[in-house]
Amino acid sequence: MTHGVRLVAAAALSLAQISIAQGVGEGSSPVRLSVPSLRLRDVPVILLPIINGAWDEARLGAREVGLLQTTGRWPNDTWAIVLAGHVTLEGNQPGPFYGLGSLRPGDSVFLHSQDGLVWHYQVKRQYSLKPNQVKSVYRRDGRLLLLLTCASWDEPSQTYSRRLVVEAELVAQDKRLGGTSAPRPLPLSSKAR
Amino acid sequence: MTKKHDYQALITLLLSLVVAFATVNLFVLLPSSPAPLLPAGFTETPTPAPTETPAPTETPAPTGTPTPTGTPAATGTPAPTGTPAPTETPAPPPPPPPPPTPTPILQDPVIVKQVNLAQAQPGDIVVFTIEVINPNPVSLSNVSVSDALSPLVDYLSASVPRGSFSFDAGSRVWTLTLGTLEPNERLTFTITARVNEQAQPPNTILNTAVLTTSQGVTQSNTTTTLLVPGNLPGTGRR
Repeated sequence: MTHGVRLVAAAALSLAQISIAQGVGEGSSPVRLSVPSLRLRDVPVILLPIINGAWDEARLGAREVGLLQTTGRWPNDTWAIVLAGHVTLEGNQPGPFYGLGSLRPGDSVFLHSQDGLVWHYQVKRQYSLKPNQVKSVYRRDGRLLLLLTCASWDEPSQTYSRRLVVEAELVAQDKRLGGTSAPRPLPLSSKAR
Repeated sequence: MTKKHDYQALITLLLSLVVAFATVNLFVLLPSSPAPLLPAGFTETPTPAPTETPAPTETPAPTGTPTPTGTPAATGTPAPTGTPAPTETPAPPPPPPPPPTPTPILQDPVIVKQVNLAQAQPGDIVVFTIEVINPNPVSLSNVSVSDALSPLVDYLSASVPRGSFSFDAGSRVWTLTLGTLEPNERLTFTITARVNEQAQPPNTILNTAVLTTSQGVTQSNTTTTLLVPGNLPGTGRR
């Protein structure tokens, strides 16, 4: 009898844990990006794979941002998610991340999953890296989102000599049904920080 | 008093003497109770003094005219059933020393591995730190540690506090022979290698060490080093 009660309790606990895990969107990759202050709305997020030892940036279109393979795959993953987007396009047209440098702490960034889940991030800071400072974007913090683009155009070499990184932190998530409900605070994560 | 009566009185007296003599002899000649055989390691508990020892109180008087046919057996005398009070308590022998019992191995030995780089690129130096622990109060023998290095790294060197080590380039197995791991001993050592050109992202460098003792084989955790591209993607067109 007691054993049966324990089994039922364990099953209920497992179900509750599954619900909590699903509630924070684990395992659900983002498919769209919105940055209201940049007037970016529902920009498609694609996977940017590593081909022949490098991220295949040629796959990145004018209206897309790429999730760098081997970085975080979804919010609250082990690693931070890194999204790269063009700053400029052919003909010196602005790319999706053209105004990334204008983001300020507190600005909102939203990621959307395929099934309607929305994650709300807030910008914390921005900094620049050399192109070879790859390890710097591998942050062991699943609550972070890094937005990456080129910076510092170098006329003689006709290349961008730096990479601009905007770092945002997850502050809320919402299962938005029809897009009317406000984001609610995230439960405290059990992950070690 | 008649002469016949005199004889009867004399015979009765003689019989009483004989019976009394036999009773006394029974007490004197009866062997003392042998000490009980005890298993090794047990001490004797002194026997409590009997509270009641039935004493021979009556000698049955012959009825009628007994015929002197010899000395009658003292069948009517109750034998003492209790243990006679010890007149002298022997000192208990010192307890024998307990037989040596081997202390059991309570826990498996522990081997933990760490790596200094979570991400790496060709040319990077990776350092594997291995710690072995004997958590038991007894020593372990025939102790060795082996580590099969990934083909994505080239072995450079190792640092060990004691023991002797070797690296077999063919099998890529590094081996440390320690011999004995003392009780509660904790040893830390390192293996240094370089990421070679075969290491291309998005592969990973996995590494596991194995601790072998006379008690068996213990496997460490597996360290993971992610291979990453050499440059961040270029995201600008003109």
